[in-house]
Amino acid sequence: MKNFSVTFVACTLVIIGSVSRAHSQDTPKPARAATSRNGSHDFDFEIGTWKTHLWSLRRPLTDSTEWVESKGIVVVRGVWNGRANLVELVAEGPAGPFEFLNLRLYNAQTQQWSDYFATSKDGTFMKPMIGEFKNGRGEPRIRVVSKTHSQTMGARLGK
Amino acid sequence: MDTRAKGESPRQNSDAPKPTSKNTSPENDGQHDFDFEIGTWKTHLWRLVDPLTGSTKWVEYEGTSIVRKIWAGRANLVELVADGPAGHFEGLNLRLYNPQSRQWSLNFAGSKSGTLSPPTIGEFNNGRGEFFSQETLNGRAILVRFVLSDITPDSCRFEQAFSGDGGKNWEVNWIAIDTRVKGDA
Repeated sequence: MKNFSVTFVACTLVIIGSVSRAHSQDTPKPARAATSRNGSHDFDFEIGTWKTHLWSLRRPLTDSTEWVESKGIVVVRGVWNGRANLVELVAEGPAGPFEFLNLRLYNAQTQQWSDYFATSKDGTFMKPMIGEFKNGRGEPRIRVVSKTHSQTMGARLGK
Repeated sequence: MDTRAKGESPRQNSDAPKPTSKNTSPENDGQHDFDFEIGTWKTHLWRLVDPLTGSTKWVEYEGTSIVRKIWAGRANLVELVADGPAGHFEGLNLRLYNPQSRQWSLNFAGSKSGTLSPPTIGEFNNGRGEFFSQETLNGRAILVRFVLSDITPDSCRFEQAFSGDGGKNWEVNWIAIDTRVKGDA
């Protein structure tokens, strides 16, 4: 459970940061076809209901070490026999309740997943994070965090 | 184009909450506008194969749509699986409610592409939902209109149209009639 929670935090941090990509590289890079493995079941392990314990750095890349702790429930549902899935998170932090979702879509051509993030506060999807699993670890290919968006993260976490 | 679409700014300054004449009381702010659709539906679907080419070749599908509530209704996910002579079709639509603008964005993906299309954005008025976006088709900018209408407890109609001339003329290219599967909660 803890591993899952930590992963979720990492994902959340990166997803927030990925918005800044809009200013520098609007066009997603052509995905490599080199990876010759079918990853369409890589999220199957996650289907179900999870208790989540979430830690997020309040102001990333500012040298601040102030972490915020939240607890909640995550429900992950499979779509199209696993080639897409929906993560619904409802949690409560120091500033009250908040709700997130992630929609993950598998691209059979590139064999990569795109991960779309939204909050109930905004009602809008951010630019997707795109990546794949290797050796049991899923990593995004895009990791850009700007100060501006880091600062907005506190608000997104319900603060 | 109808008056609502004309009123929308092409500048896409969607960050700024727009004033709206709708009743803004919490129970009537639009966030429950998709509640009627939660459940399982039989879907009869017609699709124009080559939109905006003058072609009138349609293909027909039969399938099932499952609509699930997210965050107590302020988002929902439609999962559509259908089959027809033209083959197998899988689509999904994730609808998100924006509490600032009190509008819905409809985010569509087919299972082949693995990406979400640009959202169509809009709202319900008098039992009819109209949602718009600007997209590209074969390299040209087009307008997209998605309409949800004829809503009864057990049926509803979806219609998508494209305009290649800035909204003067619309060509319908997608019609779906949903009928609720009885016994489904």
